[in-house]
Amino acid sequence: MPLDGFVATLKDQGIDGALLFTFDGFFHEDTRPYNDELKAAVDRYPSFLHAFGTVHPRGGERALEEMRRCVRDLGMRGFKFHSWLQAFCASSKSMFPLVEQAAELKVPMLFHDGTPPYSSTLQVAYLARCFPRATIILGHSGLRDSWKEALYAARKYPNLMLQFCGTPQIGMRTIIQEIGWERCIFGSDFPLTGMRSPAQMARQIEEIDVSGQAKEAILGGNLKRLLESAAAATADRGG
Amino acid sequence: MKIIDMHCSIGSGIETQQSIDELLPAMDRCRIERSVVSTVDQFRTVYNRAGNEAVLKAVRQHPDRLTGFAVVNPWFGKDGIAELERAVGQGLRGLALFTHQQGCFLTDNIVFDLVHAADTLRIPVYCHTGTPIFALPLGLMELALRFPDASFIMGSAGYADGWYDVIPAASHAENIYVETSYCPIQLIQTIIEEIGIERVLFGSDAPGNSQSSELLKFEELELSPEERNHVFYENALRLLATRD
Repeated sequence: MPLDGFVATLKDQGIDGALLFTFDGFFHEDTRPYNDELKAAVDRYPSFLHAFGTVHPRGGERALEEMRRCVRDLGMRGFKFHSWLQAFCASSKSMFPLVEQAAELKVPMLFHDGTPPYSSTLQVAYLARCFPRATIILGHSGLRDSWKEALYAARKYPNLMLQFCGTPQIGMRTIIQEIGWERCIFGSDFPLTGMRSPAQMARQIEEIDVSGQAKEAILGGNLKRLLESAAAATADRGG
Repeated sequence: MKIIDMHCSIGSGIETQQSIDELLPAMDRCRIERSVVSTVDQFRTVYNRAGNEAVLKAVRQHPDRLTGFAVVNPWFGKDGIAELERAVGQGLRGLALFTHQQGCFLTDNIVFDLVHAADTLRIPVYCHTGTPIFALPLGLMELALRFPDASFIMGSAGYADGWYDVIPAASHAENIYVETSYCPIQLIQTIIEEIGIERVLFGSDAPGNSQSSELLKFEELELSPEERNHVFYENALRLLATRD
């Protein structure tokens, strides 16, 4: 989808900003061109777009180097992984150095979750367990049935954040009631989910019977704070 | 050498059938001293009491060859806990969970309630693993971490697609024992190296696989007689002994 239309379609639906990920980049071990592409998009719409880069754990030291380049040179505020598309297991040891690197860079990592056997919710949560200093985001809070696993893991691992994106409303509501709204963020998977999906998925959150403050935080405030704190950490290093 | 098979099924299910008249001669041929048995199919999901009764009958007939585990569907809630207590009172020695068939996560509250009852009864808990979405090793890890005094058996070592998480789960939760049915030989070797010989248990899942073919895997592994004794006998004996 061309970038200008992408941004215009989001703005039409009342969206004030978007966090951008690659898709094609998940099919390649050398992700540099795709991260550069994200950077170019952000440069075109700097007040609207932010980006999370990606790398492949098979890249070893090159992947770590690319993570540093993404944060320091490309201004990225985190990383996105889609382990079943990228053909690695989220809980595998090959991810460990990457999680350590993200923790050191003080930026979050977002994972597709809810799809066994390579990207189950508890496999992603396992990384949060192993690296308490890292911020790990469940990209779908269990996707469908695994929202109960997402809730269980979030109760237990305070460094786990939950993105509501394709999560059933009953799951979102229970999660907010049980662990609060402070670690919950909103996502739409636009445009893969459809041209009107941001409005439709935001509606799902608006319909949940929780406070206005909670909804506002989930629909933007929490992510804004997360991105600002990642940016501040980068600035502290003079990066 | 003495051998205990940690997991077999008996019963006349809709899809799965194995009688003790089939199992006992197979055990004799393989020189298996004892098999741990539990029920099959609809007796795992719906007719728990009938399944447990059939297992109790077999165990009473052959107390020197068979040990029985009770099966309760966690969705039966309080009634299920009562059935577990009844069956254990009658002589069954463990709880077996088949959450892939019963339809719940290993981290669901209904499972916690049932396992709490098993923990109170001081019996080991066998969990089928390897079938997404309801029966995976990391779910078992979370369950085992929640009940640190109970012992858990990771059935079939997460075979097949859960294999990645066998060692992560068993190394974080030291009360997990890994049962080897279906588990590829190379992975058994790695599990032994990573989590230690004391927490590996021989099992066949007969009639899913034959006891003889499952035993054959261990001929390829270079284990000392002492190590073999751990995997085939001592570890199971320790687990099946009554907890204080």
